[in-house]
Amino acid sequence: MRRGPRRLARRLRGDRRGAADVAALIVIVPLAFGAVLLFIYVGRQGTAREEVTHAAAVAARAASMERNAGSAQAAAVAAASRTLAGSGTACAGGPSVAVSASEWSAGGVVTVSVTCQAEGVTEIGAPTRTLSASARATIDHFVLYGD
Amino acid sequence: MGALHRIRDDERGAGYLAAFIVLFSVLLIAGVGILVDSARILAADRECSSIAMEAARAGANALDGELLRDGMVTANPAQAQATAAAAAGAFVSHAGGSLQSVAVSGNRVTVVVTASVDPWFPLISGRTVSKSATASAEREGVWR
Repeated sequence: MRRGPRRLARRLRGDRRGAADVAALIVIVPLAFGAVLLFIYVGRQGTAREEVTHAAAVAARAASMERNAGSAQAAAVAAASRTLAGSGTACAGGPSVAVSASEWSAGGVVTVSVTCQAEGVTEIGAPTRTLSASARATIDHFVLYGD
Repeated sequence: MGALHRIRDDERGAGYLAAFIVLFSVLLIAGVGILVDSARILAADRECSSIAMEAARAGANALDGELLRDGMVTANPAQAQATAAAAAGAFVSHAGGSLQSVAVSGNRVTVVVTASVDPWFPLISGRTVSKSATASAEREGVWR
């Protein structure tokens, strides 16, 4: 068993083509890995963007159900965090959620912005990226409580 | 011509490697370009759909008052259409995308929203996504 590597080394040393092939491999293999990681990075960013947009829509709807700015803020933060956690999107330091409304009464429009620090791929130096999305929802004129 | 000959003749040397890297990079950029642009079109598609849904809700909410006062879920179609269109239009203009049509039929409001996407990479053509959503105003329970 010990002779295996030594014989391989001797064969590689004797092989004239070997040097160029090894040089090619040294360049090509990291390049190929880098390409795969780049695809992963782009795909992950795309998915994260989509999820942040979706979280903003869900949070806007949740906020529009509340009766004042304070509880709407709390509801929006809870809805956005739950949606992002449910989809497996990690935000560094949690998502930040901003809620504003044209008026807190029937027919008003609630705007929610969600900002997420999505992690990058460190192996290729792809940095953390800030993704943000906003969504709007109208406050219902009539709300039926209970049955 | 000289460089081309050298690359062709030297199968295993630096020329082969250089040609490989150039080809590889072009394919890589093309692949990333297609990926990014199709993701943007998909994202626009989904966002369009959620804007249409909220616009339809805004329209259906605009119907509500007069419907309930009459105690029935039908309305003067022309007036309902105007109210719903105004509500949905105001909603969409702030949210991006453009309002294509608002149709009122009885208690149902159907809104069509479109958005166009210009690709960043010149590999796939630009596309206009169109989404429709319907919301209905309904009476529930007993109103007194």
